[in-house]
Order: sequence, then structure tokens, then C-alpha cells
Amino acid sequence: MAKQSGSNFQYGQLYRSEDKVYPREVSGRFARLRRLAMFVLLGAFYIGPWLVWDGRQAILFDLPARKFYILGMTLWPQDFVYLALLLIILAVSLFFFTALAGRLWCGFACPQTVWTEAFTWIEMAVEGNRSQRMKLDVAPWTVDKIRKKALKQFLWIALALFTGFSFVGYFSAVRPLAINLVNFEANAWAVFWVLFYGFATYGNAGYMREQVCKYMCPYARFQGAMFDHDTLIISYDAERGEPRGSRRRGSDAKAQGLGDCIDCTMCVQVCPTGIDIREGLQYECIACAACIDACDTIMDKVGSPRGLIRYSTEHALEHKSYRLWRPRTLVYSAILVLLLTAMVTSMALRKPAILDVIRDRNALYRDVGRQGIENSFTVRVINKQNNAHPFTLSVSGIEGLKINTDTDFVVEGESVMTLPVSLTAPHESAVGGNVINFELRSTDGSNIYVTEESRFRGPAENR
Amino acid sequence: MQDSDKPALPEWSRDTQKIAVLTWISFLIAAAFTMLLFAFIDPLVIVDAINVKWLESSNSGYAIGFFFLWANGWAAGWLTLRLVRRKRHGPAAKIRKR
Repeated sequence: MAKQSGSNFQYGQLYRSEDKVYPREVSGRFARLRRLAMFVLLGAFYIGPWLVWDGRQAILFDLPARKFYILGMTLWPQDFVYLALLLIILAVSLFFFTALAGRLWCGFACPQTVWTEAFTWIEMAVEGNRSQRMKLDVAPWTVDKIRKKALKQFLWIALALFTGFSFVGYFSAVRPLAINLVNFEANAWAVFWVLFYGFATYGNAGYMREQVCKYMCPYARFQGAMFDHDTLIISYDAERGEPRGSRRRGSDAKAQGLGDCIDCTMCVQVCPTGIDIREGLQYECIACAACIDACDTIMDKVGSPRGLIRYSTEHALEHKSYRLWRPRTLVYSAILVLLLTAMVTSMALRKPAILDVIRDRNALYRDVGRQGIENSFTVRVINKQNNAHPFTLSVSGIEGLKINTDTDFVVEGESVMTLPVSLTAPHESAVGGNVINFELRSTDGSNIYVTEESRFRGPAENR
Repeated sequence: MQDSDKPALPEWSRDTQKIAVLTWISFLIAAAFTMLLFAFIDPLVIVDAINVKWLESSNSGYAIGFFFLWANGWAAGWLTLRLVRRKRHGPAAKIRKR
């Protein structure tokens, strides 16, 4: 164990494998912002499943029924493209904001950060501040220690399980799920996923914490590619701070040739990933801004202006001008605008019904004598709207083609109707493969019209 | 100030890092591909193919699909990590450089 206490703290030893990070709690502007983000984001997550829209759960990814309800919208598996588009938009937004302001996501919005914040908050509330926690950890197992540790574990596990439950609540109607869980009647898979997600939360937020960011997060490794000299990053103003060194209160630092950094190492002590920001930007930095808060507090105490560590850009530190619109941000925002437009347009033009036509695989065609050649199809009509509609089906593409089965039917709201359809065409027009068109029209004036192409097959040549 | 015997966040060994990265990345990929897979395939298809009595529900289909993809990604990643040759640093490498 390296002996390190406040005064003879040694740099470079921080990275020894047996060293630990025991972040000191910090207060200040960014700590308050982070706590606010925690309450808003966790609040939204926990309240989310309980919201109601039009008498049903507002956000529900109903997996067994294969329907996604998002507010007033119902998405079908066929609408997967929107989900993919949405994920791409989110990814590009992440790139855009990273280019602008660094790892905002990591510091304030990432679930890993947010739940870690919640778990450390519980830990602090139960076990006290950093030095009290450290003392408690080495203390013998007294009744008080057992009580504190048990209370912390209880609260952690309760929060983790509630998190798991809320997560599952997005996939399985939350009200019945809650009732069933309380009565021990819940579906085995639901219980499994509650425990699975709960355990992951407990492990990630309670124990692994920023190690997830340091070792496991793929974004941490490639976010550097989105940075440029105008990206806002947390930086130490070396010009102002160096040469660093401790000084007597009231002594003239300038006369001693010292900069503003008093080398109190608070910025290192509060860092959850255990880096020294004074060595410059490092990939471990998750931009939580704890060092800014810590340094500002110290600067206030010693009577120097705040901002020795602050959000700044490389160009600003080099006294160069800052450009908001540069090729990188222009390209990211152009892609973003393009994708958003595509998404909104395609959502607006989304067909309220889907027509699927599947050819009968058993027989290519059947000769039915004088009536001509028969082809069989399975037609699937999906009514994506909430209310029922009457439809009529027609086909075109070959001379004399006609439908032998029912062409008028009603499809209930949000349901799928599968119907066998038999078509016949006279011998002279049913030669080889011909493209035909199925057309579905609503007959109640709701203007639903969809078409689907298929093929009508006959013998290679007319007898 | 850092003088507790119990490390809160110790550095991870290379092997721990490998396992953690492998598990997490394959999880993310599996989650993404589960969405893609079940956008096109009904989970009941998987359940029917396996044909085990107590697994007869679409929820089982999703779970099996997800864990299958996760295990798959894990296996692929693990083999890749095993097979990628690391640069040699031994005395032989130094001699060869000369």
C-alpha cells in the first residue's frame, strides 16, 4: 500500500495497480446540475410506464403482441425502419453534441452516470461523507457498522429491484405486472428480467461505477474522434496555474514565482476516474466537472478568481478565436437535419394499412379446365389504425383476371386478417409469369389505398 | 488522503478487462440485433423449433433469441481475442530489430 497523505501526495503513483479511487464528494454548480439531471432523468424513467394515453399505457413495447405504443402512435414490426432511424438520429445527435461540448452525455445523462449518482447518494446518506466511509470500512464489525451496511444494501437492492421492475414495465403492462409481482403470480420471464436488470443496476451502479466508463464503454474509446480544437472540454489553465506549489496564507505567490495552483490536489481527490486533469485531457475523463467545482471552492477560499479549471476549448486556451460553425459541426448538423426530415416525412406518409401477398408454395398453378388457370395466394391485411375499416380487394395486370373468393371484408382496428385468395385467368393470357397488382381500398370514405405486386404463373406455352 | 485499505474502485487486471469488455460489447450488439431479428421473425418460430413444453410462449422466444445472440457474440469475441497476436516484447524481438 502506498503511503499517501495530503501533504506528501505523489503524482505518478496514482496509476499503481493497487491504488484506489475514493472520490470525495463535492458541492458546487456542476454537482447541483448533475443532481438535477439525476432527478429529472430517473424521475422520467420511473414515471414513464405509469403514464396513460387514450386509456392505455402511453409507452409500451408490447412484445408478445408485437406492437409498440408510443403516445398516440402504434408501431408494427413493419415499422422497424422508424426505430432504426430513431437510433441513428440519436447517435448522430450524440456526435454533434460531443463535437460541440465534449462528453456532456457521459457527465450528465448516461444511465451509468445517473444510477451511479443515485447509488453514491444513498451511500453518502447512510454511511456519511468520504472520511466517515473510509473509517467505517476499516472499523471492526460493530452493531452500528452492521446496521449501516445492512441499511445501505437494503436501499441499494430496493432501488435496483424497482429499477428492474420499471424497466420490465415498459415491455409488459405495468399495472397488472405490479399486482402480479406483489401476489407472486407474475410470469416467470417477467420475474427473471426484473431480477436480471435489477442485478445489472446493482452491480454497475453500486460496485463497478466509473470502471464501466474506463474499461467497458465503447463510446469512451471513440469519442476522441469527434473532438477538435473548438470542442468544449474540461481544462486546466496551465498558463495561469503553473508553476504550482503550496504557499503560506497571505504570502506573495508572485514573488515566490508561483502560479495560481496551490497544489491542494482536490481536483484529483474528487475525480471519480482517478485522473489528474492538470496533465491535460485524458480519455478517462467523463466530463463530470467535479474538479471544476472542487477547484472553484478552493479558489474562493484562497481569494483567487474562479476558473483555474473550467470548461474551455483548446483554441481558447491558446488565445485563438472560437468557431462554432466549422466543417465538423456543419457536417453533423446537416446529417441530423436530413435524417430528421426523412423521419418526419416518412412518419407523415406512413400507410395506415399494410397489404402482404404470399404466393401458395405448393403448386405454381392449377389448370381448372374451361375456367382457365388458377393461382392461389395468401393475403394478409394489417389495419394499423385503432378503428375497424371495411375494405375491398381487387387485382389487375392480366386480361380477364378475376378473384374467385370474397373481395369485401372488415378488418378490426389494430389487427391482422389473413385470407386465402384464388385467382383465375383465361388460358390465352396466363402464359409464363405475369406481374399482377393487388389493390386494397377502404370503402368507408377513409381513403386508405395500398397496393402490392405479385406474380401470376401459368404454363410456359399455351396449349 | 487516500489511505484506506479497502479499495473502492481498484484497477482491473487485463483479463478482467477482457471479460468485462467482451460481456458488455456482446450484450449491446445482442440487444441491437435482437430488435432487428424480431422485426422480421416471430419469436414463436424459435419456440416451435425448440419444442420444449415449458418454453411455450413468445416471451421465451425473445429470451432465447437474445441469449443466443449474446452467447454468439461472446464466443466470437473471445476467439478473436485469443487469436489476435500481440506484439512480442521479449529479447528475441529486440535482437530482430537490430
